[in-house]
Amino acid sequence: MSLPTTRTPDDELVELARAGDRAAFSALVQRHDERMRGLAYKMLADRDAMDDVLQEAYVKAYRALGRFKAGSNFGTWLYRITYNACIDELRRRKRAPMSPDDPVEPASARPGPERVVSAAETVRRALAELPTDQRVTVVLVDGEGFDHREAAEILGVAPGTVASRLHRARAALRRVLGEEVR
Amino acid sequence: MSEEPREDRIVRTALELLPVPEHREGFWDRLEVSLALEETPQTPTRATPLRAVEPPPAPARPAAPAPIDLTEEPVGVVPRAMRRPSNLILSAVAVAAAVAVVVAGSTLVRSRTDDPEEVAKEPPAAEGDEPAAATTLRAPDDEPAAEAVVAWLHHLADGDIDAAWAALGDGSRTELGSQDELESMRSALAEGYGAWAAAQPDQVLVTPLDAVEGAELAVVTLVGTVQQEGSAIARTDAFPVRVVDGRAFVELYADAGPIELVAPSRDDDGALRLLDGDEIVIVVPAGAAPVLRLDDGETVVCGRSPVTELTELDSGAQRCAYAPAGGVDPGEHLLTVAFAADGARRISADTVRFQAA
Repeated sequence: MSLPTTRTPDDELVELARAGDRAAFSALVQRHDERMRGLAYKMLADRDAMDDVLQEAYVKAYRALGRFKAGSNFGTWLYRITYNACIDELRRRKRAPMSPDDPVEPASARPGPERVVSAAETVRRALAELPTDQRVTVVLVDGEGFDHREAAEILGVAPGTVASRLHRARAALRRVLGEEVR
Repeated sequence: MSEEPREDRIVRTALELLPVPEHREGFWDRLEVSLALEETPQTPTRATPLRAVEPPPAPARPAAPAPIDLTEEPVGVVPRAMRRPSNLILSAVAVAAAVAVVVAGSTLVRSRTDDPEEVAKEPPAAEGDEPAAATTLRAPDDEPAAEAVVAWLHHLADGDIDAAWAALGDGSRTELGSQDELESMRSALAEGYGAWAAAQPDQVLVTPLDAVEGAELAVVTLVGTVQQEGSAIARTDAFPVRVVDGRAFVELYADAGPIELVAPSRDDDGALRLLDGDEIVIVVPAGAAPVLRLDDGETVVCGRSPVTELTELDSGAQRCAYAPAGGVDPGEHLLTVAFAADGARRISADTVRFQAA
């Protein structure tokens, strides 16, 4: 069996993974991992929780591969599982997870200018103030570039609900952010 | 009018400022250990060590959504993890006294593919015939609520935001605030809801409601397959409609609050299933009088019908249990739920497709 490459399409990797090729599954999730980290971190604002949730999500995805429909979009499917895992984590905490006192963790060892860090902290706090459903909606649409229909599929809600949540989330974020990001 | 991007520029810029950390060291090793303990999804083979794979460049936007078979991945009402009544996430906007909604009028179900006579009437295509005209969404005859929805979808597909705005009800206009807000969603709406304009739904289900304060409301559900970004996608979309002086308006944005689905429950991969013997359970804001309808059957008002039970929960919500007489037959079903609030100025509605065991 040849090892998967970065050019191997998702659906071929899915088939390999279904046949028990864990390297193929690893290739799949690593291909989508950056965006899953984006969703999980913006939902949870905690690096350790992000890791824990993604461990859980990836194992669940592996278990559920048999139910994944051929021809479907693996990334969207993995988003949904990751989103559900994030919601489970938030439910376990029983309250909004983001503490305004916690500093923003930099993406890498290369910190940005102080002003950027400050702005990022403002964004993080603003996100933390949003109800969970609005937070995830704005992260998916404005942060990850999904359209309303795609976000609706991931969240398991109607597109109209996405539009409604998005409208409120944007309005709230704009109020808080104001000049911060201009 | 210029077309705005689907994202809010300010918010998008702000979100880009939020860094996304890398995994802690050992993340992939931990995952490998966890996966090694799992049974392989299908035929086991010798495990290959996990290795890092260079991620591809991030696309400008996600790939087109996959074709969805709603028997496997239905569009649900509520995220799986929000179903526990003790952890309800309720919209603050959904407050105010909900008005009781009673069912009135008739029901219309038009099935394009289930009617053998209708199929038989279609002339067979012959070689050399002119190509068939592009499919265009049409409303059932004499059904103003469905006609309003169909017209609105065509406006979206055509990019005619002026007309789409004019076709919205007062509640939706108030919620959006201005036509600019609808304009800002032009692309997303055209590609999303607008995709219906070139489709012919398998079913058009109209569920009339009659609010106590005189407002005439209905829910129009379209079930079918649309072509979206090159993919055939199974869709089930519910559109609230308000009828004023005989004219119907779409009330998609006058949301009255969340409808949370407890049962059928969602699998990890998103499929909605109702286990054998389970009753249908939803959670709605306190004060709401939700209307439920299984497939094209009778509508019931939760708390009033003897096959329903409405109980108050903590957190300002209430639980509605619905056990249809005779149970729910195994197979695929539609569940429509709706309730109005704020003097019938707001309405929430949704239809989901699920599998009953």
